[in-house]
Amino acid sequence: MKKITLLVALLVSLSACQKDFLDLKPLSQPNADNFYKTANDFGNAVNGAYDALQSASQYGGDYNTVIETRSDNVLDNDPSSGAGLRYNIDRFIEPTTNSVLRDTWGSLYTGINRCNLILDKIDAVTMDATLKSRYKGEAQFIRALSYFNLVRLWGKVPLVLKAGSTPDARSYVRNEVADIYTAIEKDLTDASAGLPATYTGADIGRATSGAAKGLLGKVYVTEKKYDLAVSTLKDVVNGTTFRLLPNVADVFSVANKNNAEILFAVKFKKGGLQGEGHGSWYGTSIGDNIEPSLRAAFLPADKRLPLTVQVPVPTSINAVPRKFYDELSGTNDVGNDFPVLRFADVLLLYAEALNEVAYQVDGEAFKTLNLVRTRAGVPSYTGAQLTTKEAFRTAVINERRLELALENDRWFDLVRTGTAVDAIKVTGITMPAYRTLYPVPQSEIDTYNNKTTFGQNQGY
Amino acid sequence: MMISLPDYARNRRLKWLLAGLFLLAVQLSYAQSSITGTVTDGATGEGLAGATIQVKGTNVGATSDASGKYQISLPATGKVLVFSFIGYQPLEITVGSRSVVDAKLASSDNALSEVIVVGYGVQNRRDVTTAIGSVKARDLANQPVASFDQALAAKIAGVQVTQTSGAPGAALSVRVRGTGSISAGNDPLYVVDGIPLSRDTKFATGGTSTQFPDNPINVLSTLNTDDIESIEVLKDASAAAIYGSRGSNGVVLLTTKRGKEGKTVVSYDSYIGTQTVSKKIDMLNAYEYAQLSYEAKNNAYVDRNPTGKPTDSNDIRNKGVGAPSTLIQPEIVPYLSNQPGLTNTDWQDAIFRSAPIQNHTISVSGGKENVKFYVSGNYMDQRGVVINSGFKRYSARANVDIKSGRLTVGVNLNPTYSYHDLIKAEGPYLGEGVIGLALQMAPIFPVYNADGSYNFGNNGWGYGATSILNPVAIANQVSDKLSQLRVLGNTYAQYEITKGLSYRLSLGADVNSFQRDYYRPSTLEIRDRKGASVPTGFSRAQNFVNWLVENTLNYNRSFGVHNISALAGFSSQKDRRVANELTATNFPNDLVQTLNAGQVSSGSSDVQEWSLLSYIGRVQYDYNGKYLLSAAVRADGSSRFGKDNRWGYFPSVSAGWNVSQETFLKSATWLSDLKLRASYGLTGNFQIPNYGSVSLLGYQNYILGSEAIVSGLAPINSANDKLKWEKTAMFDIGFDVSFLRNRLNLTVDYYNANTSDLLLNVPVPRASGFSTELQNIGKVNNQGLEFTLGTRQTFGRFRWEASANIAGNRNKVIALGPSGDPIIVAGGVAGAQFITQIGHPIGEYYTYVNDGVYKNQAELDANPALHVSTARPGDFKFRDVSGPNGVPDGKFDLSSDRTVTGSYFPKFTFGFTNNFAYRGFDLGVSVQGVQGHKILNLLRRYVYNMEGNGNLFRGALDRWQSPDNPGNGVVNRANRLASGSNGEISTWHIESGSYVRIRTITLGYALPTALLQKIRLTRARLYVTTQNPFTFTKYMGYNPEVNSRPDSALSSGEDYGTYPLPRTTSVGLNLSF
Repeated sequence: MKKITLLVALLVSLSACQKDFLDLKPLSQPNADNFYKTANDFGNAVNGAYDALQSASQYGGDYNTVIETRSDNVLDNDPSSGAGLRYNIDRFIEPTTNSVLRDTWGSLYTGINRCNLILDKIDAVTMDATLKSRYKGEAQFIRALSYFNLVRLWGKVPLVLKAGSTPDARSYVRNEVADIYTAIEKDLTDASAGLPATYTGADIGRATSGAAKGLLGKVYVTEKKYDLAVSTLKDVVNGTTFRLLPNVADVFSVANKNNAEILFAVKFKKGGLQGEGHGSWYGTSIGDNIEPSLRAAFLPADKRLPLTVQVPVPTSINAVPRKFYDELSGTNDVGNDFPVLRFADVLLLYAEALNEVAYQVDGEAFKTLNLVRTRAGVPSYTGAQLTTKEAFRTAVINERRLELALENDRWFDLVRTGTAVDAIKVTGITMPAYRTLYPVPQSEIDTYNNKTTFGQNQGY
Repeated sequence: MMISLPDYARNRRLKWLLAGLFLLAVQLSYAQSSITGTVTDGATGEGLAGATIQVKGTNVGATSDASGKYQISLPATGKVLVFSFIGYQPLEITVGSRSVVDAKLASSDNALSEVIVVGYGVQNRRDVTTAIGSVKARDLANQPVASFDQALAAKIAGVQVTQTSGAPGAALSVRVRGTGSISAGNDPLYVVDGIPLSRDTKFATGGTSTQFPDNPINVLSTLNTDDIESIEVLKDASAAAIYGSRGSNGVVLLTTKRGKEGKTVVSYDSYIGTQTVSKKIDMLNAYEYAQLSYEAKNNAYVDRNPTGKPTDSNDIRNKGVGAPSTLIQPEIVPYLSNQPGLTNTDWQDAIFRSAPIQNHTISVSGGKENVKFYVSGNYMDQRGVVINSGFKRYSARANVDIKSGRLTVGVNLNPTYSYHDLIKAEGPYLGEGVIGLALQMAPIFPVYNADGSYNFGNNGWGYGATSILNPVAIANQVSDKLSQLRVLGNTYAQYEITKGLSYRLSLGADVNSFQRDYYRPSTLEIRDRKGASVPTGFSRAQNFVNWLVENTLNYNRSFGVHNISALAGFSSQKDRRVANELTATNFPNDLVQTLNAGQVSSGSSDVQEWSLLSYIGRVQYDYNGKYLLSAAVRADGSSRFGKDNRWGYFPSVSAGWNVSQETFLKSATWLSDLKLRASYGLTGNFQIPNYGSVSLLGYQNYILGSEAIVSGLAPINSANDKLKWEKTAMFDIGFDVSFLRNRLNLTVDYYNANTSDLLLNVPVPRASGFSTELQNIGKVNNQGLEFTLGTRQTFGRFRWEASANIAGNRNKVIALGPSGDPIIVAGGVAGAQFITQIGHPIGEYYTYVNDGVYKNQAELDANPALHVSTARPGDFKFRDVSGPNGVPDGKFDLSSDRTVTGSYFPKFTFGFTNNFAYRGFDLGVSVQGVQGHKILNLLRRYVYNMEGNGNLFRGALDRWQSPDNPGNGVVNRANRLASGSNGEISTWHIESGSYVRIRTITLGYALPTALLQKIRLTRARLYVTTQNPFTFTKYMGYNPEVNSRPDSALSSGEDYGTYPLPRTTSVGLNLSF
C-alpha cells in the first residue's frame, strides 16, 4: 500500500506542473499575449496602425476608386479590367458584392482594431507620460480618420471602440451617424490635446496636434457645425507650423516630402520589402482617365491644370497625372506620399465655414480663398463677383475641386453639399440619389447573427 | 541462464555476427536420455515437417522431419518439451517417464486464439469487442518494399493504403475508414512499441515548389519491416479512444520482435532484385509527332487566315497572320517526307532505367528465463527506376528485457540513418517535373548533342513553341539530397506490486534530424533562356525531439467466472522542432555546390513546440468468456488547444457476446465460434496548428522621417480560446464467425462515424478587425461495411490459405461554415476546381462536361449558343448543365456550367491473398483492387491537348481531321492555338481510376529438415518474388493511385506528373540457425 501511496503522490506532483507544461507560446513569431507590455511594444503597435492607412485598400490605391473615380473628376472606361470592379463604381452600377468596397471596409476596420488594441491596453502600462499621451493621440487620430472615411462612404456602420472577440462581433449593429461623429470629435479633440505640435528627425510624419485639429475642422464642416469649424481651424490657419508653399507643384514632389504644407500624409517608399511602396495612382494605359469637365473647370493659366495632365512613365506602359508622378523602382512600385490633409485644404475649409457663419463682402473668407487662388496664378475673387453666400459657397466648392483634384475630397464635397446627382449628370451618367452611400458589402452582412437588423443601405 | 564472456568466446558460431551489439549466448548441456515422437496438425492429423521441439529452460532443441517425426535428447534437468511451428500455437508437454511424446498442435490461424495488441496492453482475439485489424510478421515478410505500410496494402478491410508515388522511400497515404477531416490531417496515429509518433515530421523536408508540391518522403521507412512482429490497426472509435485526441483517423500499432525463451536463433533475411518501370505510356513517335504538329500549325493558321493554304511558306504566314505559333518549325520538315533514320527519341526510355534493389537483415534473438533479447541490423538500398533517384537505409535494433524477481526492465533502441536521392517527379514542365517533361518533350530532339552535352533544343525553340527543358539533364544535374537520422527508443521498468497488479514506467523518445541540400547548376538552362543559368541552392535542416513519459497501473485478476482487467495511467509528451533554411544564388561556377560558394539570398529560422498531458483509464470485464464488456476514457490536455478548451475527454464502451459458448449452440458442430460485438466511442483529431488558438502578430512596417522604414506590429489573426480538436463519434457493430472447425472465418463490421467540430477558416465580421477565424464548425459523416473472409484447407500435404477482404465507405459532408456555402478550391491550374458541399463527399471534381467533338459545320450551326464563335468542326462540345437561375439555359457559359464530375473516393476496395504450400514449396499471390474512383489527369492538358506543341498520347492518332475523317468522335482536332473552349478543364481530363493489381507473387522452397540438420541450419528458404507484375486499369497515366496532394482532402485525386511504380523481381533467402 505504501508503494501505491507513493505512486499516487508521484502522479499528483507530476500533474501539478501541468499548467506551465500546456501553456506554450509561439517561439518564432510574436503574439498578442506577450505584446502590449512595454513602451517599445506600443511604439511598434502605433507604427502598425499607421501601416493600415498604407493598405492598397485605403490610401494605397482603392480610395482613388471609391472617392475620385466615383466623382466627376476621374473616369473608368474599361469594363473588362478587373472584372469591371472599378468601371462599375464609376458608372454607379456596382453590386453589393464589389470586392473593392469589401476590401476597403475590411481594411478600415483592420486599422480601427489596431487602434482599439492600443487604446484598450496602454493605460495599464507604466511608461513615460508624454510618450503615452502621444501614442494615444496617434491611435485616436488614426481611428478618427478611419471612422470619418467609413461614415462618409457608408453612413451607419458599427462603432467599435474596444477590441472585441469575433463572436461578439457577430452581434454588432450599425450605429447612428451622429453617434459616430460624436466619437470622431472626441478622438480628435483628445488627440489634438495629447499630440505634440511638431516632430523631429525619425518621428517626422507622425500625426501632430495641428493635424488633429485640422481634421476636426474638416469633420465639423462636414457636419455643418460651422461655428466650431471656424474656431477650430482658426488656430491652424493662424499658426506658424503650416503654410502654403509658393509653388503648388512642389507640394507633391517626391523630392519634397514632409513639406510645410502637409498637415498629414500617408507615407510611402518605393522598393520596400513589404509593400511600403504603391502602384502608380491613376495610371492608365488606355487613354486619358481624367473627366473632361475637370480640365474644363480650370482657367488655362491655372498652375494646377498641368498637375492633372497624364505624363508617360519611363519603363512603364502607364501614364500618370503629374501630381503623383514618380519613376518605377526595380519592383515596379513608386513612392509618392498621399496628402490626407494639407494647408490649402484647411484654408478652403476655413473660408467655407466663415462664409456659412456669415457672408461678408471681401471679408476674411474672401481673403483666405484668394490665398489659394493667388498661389495657383489665377485672379482673386471679389465681392462684386460673388455677391451672395450661395455664390461664395459654389465658388469655394469649385475651388476645392481644382485645388484638391485627385486628392480624395471631391466625392465627399459633392455629397455633403447635396450636389452629387447634378455634378455626375454633367459626366453623362445618371446617378440614383440613394447611391450617395455605398452598399454595405454583402459578405459582411452575411457574417452577422441578425442580418435583417444589420441591414443594407437604402436602395440596394 | 546468462553466461559470461568466456562462455561466449567458446560459442564461436555467433562470433562474426554480434560485434558491437549485445553479447548474449547460451551454454550447451549434455544429453541424458532420448525421446521420440510425431508432431501433427491437431485438426487433420497430418505430420508437420520442420516443427521446433525444445527442452524448456535449456537450449536443447530438435526439428521434426518431413513426416513430422523427431528425436531429441533430454538432459537430466529437462522435464518439459515445447513444440512450436509457424502458424500453430506452441504446446508444452511434461515428459514424465515417457520415451514417446506425440504432439498435436492447434492452428493459430484460427484468429480467435491469437493474442493481439490493443492500446496499452494485449488481448486475446476471443475477448476483443472492438474493430481491430491485425497483420502478423509472416504476412509482411519478404516483400521488396522500403516500408511496412506498403506491405500493409490490401491486407485489412477498411484500411486503404495508397501508393501515390513510386519513388524509393516516398510517403504513402494511409486512410482508416475514410476521410473525416477537411483541413486538418487524415493520417492515422502510428504507435511504435507504445510510443505515439508525431505527424509533424512528415512535412519536415518541405518541397521545391509550392505550386506543384513534392510527394513527401516516408519518415516511417526508417522502420525495418523485418523487425516488426505485428501490426494492429485500431479501426473503430472505441478501440482508438484510448489514444483520445489522436484517435480519430485510426491508430496503427507496431510491435517489434522480442526475444523468446529458448535457443538463440540467428536469422539472415535478404533479397536482391531488379526493378523496371511498371508501365510506359504509349506516345507518338517523332514522325507522328511531326505530322500532327504540322497539322496543328496549319489549322491554327487557316483559322486566322481563311484564305491561307497549308502549303504557304513561313514568309507568307508571317505576312498573313504574324503569329509565331502558326509558323512551321524547319526541324520537323524532314519528318514530314518520312526520311528514314532521323532522331526519334523515346524520352521515357531516356529517364527510366532498370534499377537494383537489395535488402539484408541479420537478427539474433533468444533468451533465458530472466533475459531475452532481439538484436538486428539492416541495410537496404533501392535505386529508383527514374535516373538519379534512390533510397538507402542503415538501421539497427536492440530489444532487451531483463527480469529480476518482481521487477522487469527493458529497452528498445532503434537508430536509423536513411538517405534519399530526390528527383522532382511532380508537376508539369513549369514545375520541372521530369515525368511530365519526358512525356512532353518533342521526340525529334536527341538527349545529347554530338559533343556529349545535353540537348536543349526544345528550350527557346521559337515558332511559338513552349520551352521544355531536357528531363535527363534535370534529373542528372539537379542535386537534391536528403538524409534522416532517427533514434527511436524507449526504456521501461515494470514492477509487480501484488498478484495481478503491476506498475509500469516508460520513457520514450523519438529524435529526428533531417538535412536537405539542393543545388541547380549553371549548366542547366532555365526556361525561355538559352545558355548558362544562375545557379541556385538551398540547405534546410530540421530537428525534432519528441519525448514521452508514461506511468501505468495494470490490474488483471480472475475470480471464478469473473475476469477483470483494469488500466490507469498518466502520460506526458512534448515535441520541439527547430528548423533552419538558407537559400543562395550567384555561385561563380558549379565547382563547389555548398552554399558558402554562393551569395546567401534569404534565410529563415523557426522553432515550434507542442505538449500533451493525458490521463487514461480502462476496465475490461468478462463473465466466463461469454459476456464481454469494456469501457475506457482518456483525458487529453494540449498546448494546441485554446485556453477555454484545454482538456478533452474521450470515453468509449464496447460489449461482446460469445454466442457459441452458450449451451444451445455448443452442440452445433458446424459452428466453431460466433461472437457479436457493438461499440461506441469518442475520439479526437489533434492534427491542428501548433499555435492556431493564439493571436499572432505580423510585421506591418511604416515609413517615417526621411524615408526610414520603421517596424510595426499588428495582430494578423484573432485569438480563439475555444479552438480544440476535431471530434469523431463512431458506432460499430459486427460479428466474428467461424465454421467447420475454424476452417472458415468471417468478420463483418458496419460503422457510422460522425466527425464534428471540423477546423475551418470561417468568415467573421470585418468589423472585428479580421476577415476569417479558425473555428471548430464543420461536420462530416463516414459510414461503411467491411467483410473479411479467411479459409484454411488441407488436402493431404497440400495446404491452402486464403484471405479476402472488401470494404466500402461513404463520405458525406453534413455541415460547413455558418452560411453553409460550398468550399471551392483550385488544383494545379485555376480551372481545375474541386467542390466540397453539404450532402456530398469532400472534394469532388467540379468541371465542365465534355460531350465529344463537333463532327461538322452543320452540328456547330445547330447550336450556336453552346459554343464560342471561334469554335470549328473538330472542337470540343460542352454540355449546358445550368444557367444563372440554376437550370439549363440553352447556353454553354463558363460562369454557370460547372458541375460535379467525379470523386477520388472509391466505391469499394478489396484485397485477396492466397498462400499454397506443398511439401517444401510455397506460393503466395496477393491482389489489390480499388473500384469506382475518378482521377483528374491534368497532364492531359499538355500531353493530350492536340496542340502539337509537346508530344502527345498515341490516342492522338484517333483525332478529328475532317468531316469525312472524324476520328473516334472523342479526340478533338489538332490545333496549335486552341479554339472553341478546348483548353477548359472538363470531363475530358477525368478518367476512371479503378484498378485491380496483382501486388505480389512469391514462390518459395524451404530445404527439408534432414538436409538442414546436416548443415546445422534450422531453416533455409529460397524464394522468388515479383511485385506489381500486373495492373488491370483503363487509366492512361502511370499509376491509378496517384494523388498530387494527398494531404489536402479538399483537392485530392489530381495527376500532374507522378513517379511511376516499379515492377520488382527479386530473389530472396531466409536462413536461421
